[in-house]
Amino acid sequence: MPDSEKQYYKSAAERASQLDPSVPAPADIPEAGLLEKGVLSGVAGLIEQAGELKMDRAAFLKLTGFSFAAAALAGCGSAAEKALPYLVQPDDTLPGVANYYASVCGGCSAGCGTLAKDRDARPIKLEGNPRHPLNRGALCAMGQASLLGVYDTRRLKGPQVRGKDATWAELDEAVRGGLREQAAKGKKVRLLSRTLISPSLKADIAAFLKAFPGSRHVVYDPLSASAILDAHQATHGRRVLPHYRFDKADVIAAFEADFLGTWISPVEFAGAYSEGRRLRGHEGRFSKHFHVESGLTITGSKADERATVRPSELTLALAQLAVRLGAPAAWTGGAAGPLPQARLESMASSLKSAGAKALVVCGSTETRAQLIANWINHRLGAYGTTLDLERPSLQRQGDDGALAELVAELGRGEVGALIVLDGDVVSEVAQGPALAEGMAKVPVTVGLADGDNDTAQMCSFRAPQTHWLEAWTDAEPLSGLVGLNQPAIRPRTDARQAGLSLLAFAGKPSASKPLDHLKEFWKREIFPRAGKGRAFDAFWDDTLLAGFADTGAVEAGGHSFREPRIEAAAAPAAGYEVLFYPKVALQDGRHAVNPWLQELPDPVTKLSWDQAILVHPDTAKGLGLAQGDMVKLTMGGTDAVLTLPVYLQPGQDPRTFSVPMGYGRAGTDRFHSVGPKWLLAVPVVGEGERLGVNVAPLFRLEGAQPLTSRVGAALAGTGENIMLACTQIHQSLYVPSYMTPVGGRRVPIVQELSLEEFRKGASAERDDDIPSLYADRKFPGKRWGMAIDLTACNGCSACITACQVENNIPVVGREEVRRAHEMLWLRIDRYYHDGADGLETVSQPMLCQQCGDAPCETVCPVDATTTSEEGLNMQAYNRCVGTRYCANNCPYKVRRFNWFDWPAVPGSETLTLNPDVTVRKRGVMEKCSFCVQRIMEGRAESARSGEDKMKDGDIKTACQQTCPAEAITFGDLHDPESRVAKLAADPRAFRVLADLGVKPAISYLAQVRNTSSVPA
Amino acid sequence: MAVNSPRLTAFLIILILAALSLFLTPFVQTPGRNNGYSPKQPIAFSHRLHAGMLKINCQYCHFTAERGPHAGFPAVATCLNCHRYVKGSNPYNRAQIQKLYYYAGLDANGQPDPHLKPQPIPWIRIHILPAFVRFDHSRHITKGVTCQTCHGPIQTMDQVTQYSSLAMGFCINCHRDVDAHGLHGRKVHASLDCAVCHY
Repeated sequence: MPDSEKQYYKSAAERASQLDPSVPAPADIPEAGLLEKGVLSGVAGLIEQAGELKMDRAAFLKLTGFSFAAAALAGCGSAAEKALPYLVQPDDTLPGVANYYASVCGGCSAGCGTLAKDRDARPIKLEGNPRHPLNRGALCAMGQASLLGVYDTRRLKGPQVRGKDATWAELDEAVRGGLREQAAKGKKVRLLSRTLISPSLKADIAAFLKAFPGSRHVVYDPLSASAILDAHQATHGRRVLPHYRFDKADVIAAFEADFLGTWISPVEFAGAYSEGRRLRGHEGRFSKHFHVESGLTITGSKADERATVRPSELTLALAQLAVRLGAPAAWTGGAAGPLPQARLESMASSLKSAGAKALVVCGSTETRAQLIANWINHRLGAYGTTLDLERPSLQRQGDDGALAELVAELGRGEVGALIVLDGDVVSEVAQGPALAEGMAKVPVTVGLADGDNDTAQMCSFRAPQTHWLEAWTDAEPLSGLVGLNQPAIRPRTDARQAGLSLLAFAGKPSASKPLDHLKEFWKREIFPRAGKGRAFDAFWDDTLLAGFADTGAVEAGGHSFREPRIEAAAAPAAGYEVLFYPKVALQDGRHAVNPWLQELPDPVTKLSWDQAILVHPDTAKGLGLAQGDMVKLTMGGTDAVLTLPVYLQPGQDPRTFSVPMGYGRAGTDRFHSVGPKWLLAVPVVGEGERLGVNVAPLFRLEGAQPLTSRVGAALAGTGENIMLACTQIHQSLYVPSYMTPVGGRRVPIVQELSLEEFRKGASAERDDDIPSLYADRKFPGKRWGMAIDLTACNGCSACITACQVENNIPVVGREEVRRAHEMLWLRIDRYYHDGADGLETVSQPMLCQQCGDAPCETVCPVDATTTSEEGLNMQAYNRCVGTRYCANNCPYKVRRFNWFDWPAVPGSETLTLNPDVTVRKRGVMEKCSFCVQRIMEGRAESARSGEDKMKDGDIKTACQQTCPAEAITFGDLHDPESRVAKLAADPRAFRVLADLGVKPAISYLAQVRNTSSVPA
Repeated sequence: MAVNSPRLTAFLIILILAALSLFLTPFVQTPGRNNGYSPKQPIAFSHRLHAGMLKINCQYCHFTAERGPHAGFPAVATCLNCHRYVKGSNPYNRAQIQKLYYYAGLDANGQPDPHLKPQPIPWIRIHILPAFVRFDHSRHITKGVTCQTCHGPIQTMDQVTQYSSLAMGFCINCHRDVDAHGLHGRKVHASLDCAVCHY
């Protein structure tokens, strides 16, 4: 039986009252706490603030008069609406029906396959390509949100020469001349980019480099994996990044590698990880996951056993494990090591017994740590099973050494021409300021970024490249797996593809259009490897439809292992340390200008918009700091001072402060216009200000290696306290004790089981068949339902962004989030429990439960919300009068009220709005509809096809479609063969708050942790 | 005459308000207001001639009615499929077809005119549903609902008029009716759920 007395907490205040009964429990309704802080101060506060505005009677009358006039105008008839037909009907376009184009996500360098959903020749949503072997239909929050980039109003309209608009011919002429002149002078020509995975672009780069002897292409990664590649150069003789196979691993030990959230290829890894932990009834393989980290990540939250170390102790922890597995004792230098003995023993014995099916991953940017990881993986025999070197990953190719050399060359003034292909290098790397200084000395600088960033603004020539949704290109994330990137929209600006620009600069302009240019390359390079005796055109068409071609292993490499030479790790310094970490949605900050990603509550902290210093609650108590206290953070080796608010984060290493990167980027001043337009609006950022502080210049350089941590950290309070935009305690599920059934007890809201007890037949606590006063409602046909597997869910929040894009959910801005006015239909509740073995975390996606006896419906005075004959809890926006009774009566707190008419997402001109979903107006209640537009479309599609029969799985909700862990299943509960019906009857299934008698249609499957000491 | 009876005053005020509301009602946007809307179109295209007399299938032009939510307006090229050859039998028809040529960028003889830029015909939209209503033509057409059920005797109209109110009651009545009595002798289920149209 599950431990039903287990106490979970959501906030530090709740934890404090659980630990010490003398501390009063936080208010029943968490929002009450906001009142004290003056955020929900209601009318009194507004009047006070209005007083400060000194609005006189005339101004007030003017404003009210305007709104009356507007209302009166709205009632009058409008001018005749035009219906403009096509001149010639395109073959493949039906009005109102979406087309899907297979492409490759350009959101990061992971290279996931996507399907771009086009309506009227305009992409409005991105989905993972279900046929693509990497991401198998899933996409992360960043990928989902990167759609906005194509409509970004900050994109350059066309090429520029020294800040003035120019034609491509003028620009090419000038750049070509400049390059030749510099080359003739013997100056160096350098290309700089983040990792590029397009083989056709690499061919163009090679052609460019050939035209300028001595020129070089420098590749860097803001989230560097250079140490992994360098370590493999040392141990395996090849500078490669292994393809990690989490699906094949029985035991995983991860050291500061957030592989489900931010590390290398999180969507692929989350799917594979989930595959290795998929329970079917009481059966199914279940891997064992150890995690060592400094802050809390979503990966660490899923771990079966977790330990925290300071960043400076990480390498020593790895050495400790290596020594325990037989490495020379000198590797630890005799130091005791930070890992507790019991945890170390458990980890070592599990890894050993798993042997080749073990996998050790390390996210450190230090080569020494990676060498130790390689040694352990080799020792366990994992190369060849869980680490694939034959078809290595190409998702990170950056070279820290090459970047350091470029910085040195720039400093010495040896570089005559620098072409920045993509990225914002001066804001992304430790050497940013030095790079900026060096770049100023370069006579010819060319930027290919399509928007304004700090690096591009320094370039004298701007040659904007097409957005990936406009480009004909390709992507090879794994050696031999080549995705084809076809455009989903005609270029919206006068941009040119990067490869074509480079060829033009080299004086060898391609005569062909982007499509033909790509086709020529594929005919030459890819087709001979993957064509298999077909005609090229047939091969091309098939690839275009599938979205990728698999050419098989490119080069077979043996695994001759060379023992690394590892010096003893230096003993870690005492005291506090600071870790700069990538957040799930922002990561290195490449999409910092994207409002969807900024508003997305961080999966760990639930902070939206705000950058904060994460501190362990006990540490903060010791330092006399409270949530929201503004502090000055100082650290060793730099004079820089970070002034940021404190956020109390359980699971944080007590001696480590974490600060997220990706903030303080050019273009974030646009968020000044986010949020409702009204008298008392508080902008997210001041006019012309940036959001947050960029911490990349604070990375510590050790040689060429950028270390994302510093020792000697100290916090000093400034005496100021601010309200953080944090949704952690918003909409907390709470049932008053008097609602507990007489003689009964409440079924827990989240449930966990240990694998051991589960294997022995334990099941989740259920609450079925409670008596009801209502007549049993009959659903004669289908009953739509959902199952959410908490074991699979890692909280990555891709579903939230997918829901936001699909359902036209507005961005509300920081001030509205502070007031608990966020509009997201789907949230992920996060529960903590201080277990005997450390922090345990459960993430629970919470959305409308589509109750059979819905409490919201009985209180609606106008019948705006009713239950459909298929069990959907419908919300008729046009009927709603905005009493908000329904939201008050919803035990799940999933209803959202439109306090305002929300302005368009800045920079998007609302071009991403889904035409199948009504845009809600002010004064209207809304909530999750189970993607009813997808149900209707699925139905219409089956009617059009003439069969009129929907199969299980034909309809996928947006959240389900994008889930990398396949945690969400949607379908007909009345079909006994449907997957969702089977899951609802699973031994792990329970329904949240079903003991209230509301008959929710969503089943949750309890989280299982592998507490067994041997691999299962 | 001075009015000094309070009762009469009240009566007059109510009378004036009632008269005012009666007068204002047509100007207020209410469902069904567009009933009978029949604007003059840029080209006097006659459904009576094409659909009624010549018996051209509705879906020759509105070809997406069966395949998607919108019935769709025919592309200019679709008109030219016939009108490249059919140039009109009387001066009135010829004048209309000349207008078509103008929009298609053709000269009086139907040959490409380099001075003209082809442009879409700016038809005036007649059947307009509010933004919070979804109607899928294909779901209805594939079930055998005829065009005339909602659009009326369109094959007799020279200038198209909105025949039905297209207000919610109109939809609900039909859904109730076919649910109870079937459609063309077949039993069908037409749901009355809000979310059938509103989402």
